[in-house]
Amino acid sequence: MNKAVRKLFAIAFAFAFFLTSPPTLKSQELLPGGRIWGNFQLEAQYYFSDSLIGAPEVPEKILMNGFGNLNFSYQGFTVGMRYESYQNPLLGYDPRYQGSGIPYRFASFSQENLEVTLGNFYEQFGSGMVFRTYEERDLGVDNAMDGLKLVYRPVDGVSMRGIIGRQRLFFDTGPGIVRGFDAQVDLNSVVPSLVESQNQWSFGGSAVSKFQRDQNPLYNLPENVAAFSGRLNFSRGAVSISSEYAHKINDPSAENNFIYKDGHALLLNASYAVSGAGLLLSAKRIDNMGFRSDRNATGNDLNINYLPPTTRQHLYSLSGMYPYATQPTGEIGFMGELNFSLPRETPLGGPFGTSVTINYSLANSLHKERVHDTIPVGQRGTKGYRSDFFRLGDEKFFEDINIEINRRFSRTLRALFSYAYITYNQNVIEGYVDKEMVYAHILIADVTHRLPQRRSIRWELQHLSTRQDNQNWAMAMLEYSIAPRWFFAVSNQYNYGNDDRDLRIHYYTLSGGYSRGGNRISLSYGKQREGIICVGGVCRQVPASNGFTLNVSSSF
Amino acid sequence: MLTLKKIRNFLLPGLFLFLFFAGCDKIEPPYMTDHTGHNGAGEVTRKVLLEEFTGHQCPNCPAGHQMAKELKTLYGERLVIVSIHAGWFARVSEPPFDYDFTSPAGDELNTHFGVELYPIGMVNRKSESGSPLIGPTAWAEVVSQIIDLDPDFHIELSLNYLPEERKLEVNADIHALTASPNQYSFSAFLTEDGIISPQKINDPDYPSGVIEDYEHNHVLRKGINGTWGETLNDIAIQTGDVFSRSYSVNLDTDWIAENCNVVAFVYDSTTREVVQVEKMALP
Repeated sequence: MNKAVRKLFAIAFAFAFFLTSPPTLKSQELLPGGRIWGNFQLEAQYYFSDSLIGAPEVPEKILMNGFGNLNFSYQGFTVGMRYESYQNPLLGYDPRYQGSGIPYRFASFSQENLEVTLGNFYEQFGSGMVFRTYEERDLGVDNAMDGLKLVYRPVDGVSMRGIIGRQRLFFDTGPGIVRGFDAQVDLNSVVPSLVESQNQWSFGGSAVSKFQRDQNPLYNLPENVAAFSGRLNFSRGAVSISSEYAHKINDPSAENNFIYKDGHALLLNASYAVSGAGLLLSAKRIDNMGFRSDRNATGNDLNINYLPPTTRQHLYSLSGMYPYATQPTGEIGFMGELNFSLPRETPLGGPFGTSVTINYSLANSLHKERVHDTIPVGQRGTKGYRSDFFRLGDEKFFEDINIEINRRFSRTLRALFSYAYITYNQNVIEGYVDKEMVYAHILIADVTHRLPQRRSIRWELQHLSTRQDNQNWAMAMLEYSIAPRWFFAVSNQYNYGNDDRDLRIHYYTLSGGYSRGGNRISLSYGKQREGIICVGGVCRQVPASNGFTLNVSSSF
Repeated sequence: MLTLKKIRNFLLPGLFLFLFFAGCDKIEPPYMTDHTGHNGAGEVTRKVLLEEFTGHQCPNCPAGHQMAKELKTLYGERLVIVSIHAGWFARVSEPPFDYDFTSPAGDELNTHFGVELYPIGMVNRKSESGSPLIGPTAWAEVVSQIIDLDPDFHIELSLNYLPEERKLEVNADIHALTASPNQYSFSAFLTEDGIISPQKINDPDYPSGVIEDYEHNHVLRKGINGTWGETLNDIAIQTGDVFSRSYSVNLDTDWIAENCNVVAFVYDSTTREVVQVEKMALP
């Protein structure tokens, strides 16, 4: 074992020792009525060379992402900051994160009906289709605003929010200024005759615009680009319906290949839930709705809005191998989900009952027509294309039908069984042009045995079968937990069906962790396959790697 | 409970704010500007170097080539393009992609600047948000911000080509037009235009995904004085200083001399930002 690996182990044990001694200083003692809270996280990896799995060389050998939040509040006044350090960024994270600094700091106060925030903030208007700033650490996404936010609640049931600022771009801010206003009205609180009504109504509207100077010598570009949205929500008893429509004016950008077409988005959600059963339906239409505070930005940089997914997010490793990423340039999507419970003490329900979830989702292209016979669809410097609102295109992006059965067999044994059939368009989702459509069948069993003294054993068996891409995979995992402190796990993903025998690789991982109070430390060793991880329809590519990983987190 | 007065109190300012934030510029055709007016040649001006990383198996790269071509139409001799074929998409594989466009200098630049996405480019290697790599749609803006600055250097090139030996002699006189305490370096590349060879493309007009007779231009063939060139000065530069450099290089047999050019440039040795570039076709 070389010097650097020994050093990583030494750090891990030092942290473990430190974490067993809880802090003695109570934050509340600092200032009567004051409160300090925050958290800390570190992820470090030691990388080995492994050209077979396609792991890139890492000259630094060790890479680390770390951050700590520190907040203080006192009588309606709150200040906070986040220190971040990337020495250098872990593989798969944008190298522009390299360095250290305080990219997030804020001060806020509220009195009467007014709340004021200065500095950085996260905010969302409606479902986020015209404005959402958020942080998703697993994706390396942080588009926080740096500016001002006002929230005003003139009466019960009414809130108005105004924001202005620039968005975070690594340790800098983007070139565009973002301005926005949102109003939300809960009708049942505002209209006297509706106070007692079982019909619950609310509506809202948003307007967001960005300013970016036009310095492009080739195009006449709009320096101010605005987007609007309106939303209406209704619920009565078991029924809930929400809807939002958004419109954006001409916004030529790198994402839409500099076309001047307006953007549109429609999102509809409906749910019905009664005891033991529920039904969820979603539909959306996205048409040229990428919206960023830098027209030249790509990847996950400087998104002003967020386009919610209408596909299921799979959490198991093989069912999550082909995740869907929302296509801002255009898609039509549907999702339906039915869940129900089979009663206890019945042949199907068993002695402890069984729950079943059936889910179907589809994402398809828009129908696009030329704006003129001589102009190809999507041609730069034109209106781009025409599109009928309700007409589907010819290309399927993604389809997923899956069923999940959760059953408790005894007081000590419960299991989850799942089957999914996924259709995945690699060319659209991953940006290729010559890849095949992937059709994958995935079977999963996840079984937990409870043992005496709060111990448990959990094991997973997974299988993915496909004739495309890297063909078949099998996966097994065994985890032993001593609640609430310890866990140990071993797993292996095996690409046994790969056409290339040299690439029939075992991606094994050994891991262990310890938790106490708000502290957690874990160490793992293994191989990570190349892949894509997605959260909420936003994705990032993860390169293959081989090595040790240390995770330390603490909150207070 | 809500009263009319309260409605007035918050709806009116709300409406005002709504209209204020809704500021937007609706652009009517023509969307593109007139591509003329910047082709001035003759006097000493600042010229700009656009290095694009590309590959014959990169389906999105023709869009980058097109963007570079539009900028070349706009700026003429004042924009110098070098196409660096490197990385995964420039790999040599089964026919029709069995031609090797790569070069040691291109590979080294690709590695040094950490290129992972294609097409991507560098305008004068000027760093934006910590990296000089920028996507094709941003090239125009960066070029427009640099190209009208006063020049710091003037590069005079003279070339002598000996066809029998396929030997090219390059002589450069680099004139300092302003004083500077910085250290500068001088690089010279050999490029070739008009190479007809297949190129992958992402365009519905080409259902096969390949243009068989694609014309590859500005292809980096060789670093005449290595990848990074050589240092020009050890002490501060004074206005009027002249630095003379001479090199010779042999052309490979499959390079067509009539289609070859020398691209020579001066860059800041510390920041690596290019401050002047000159291009000359082989005689």
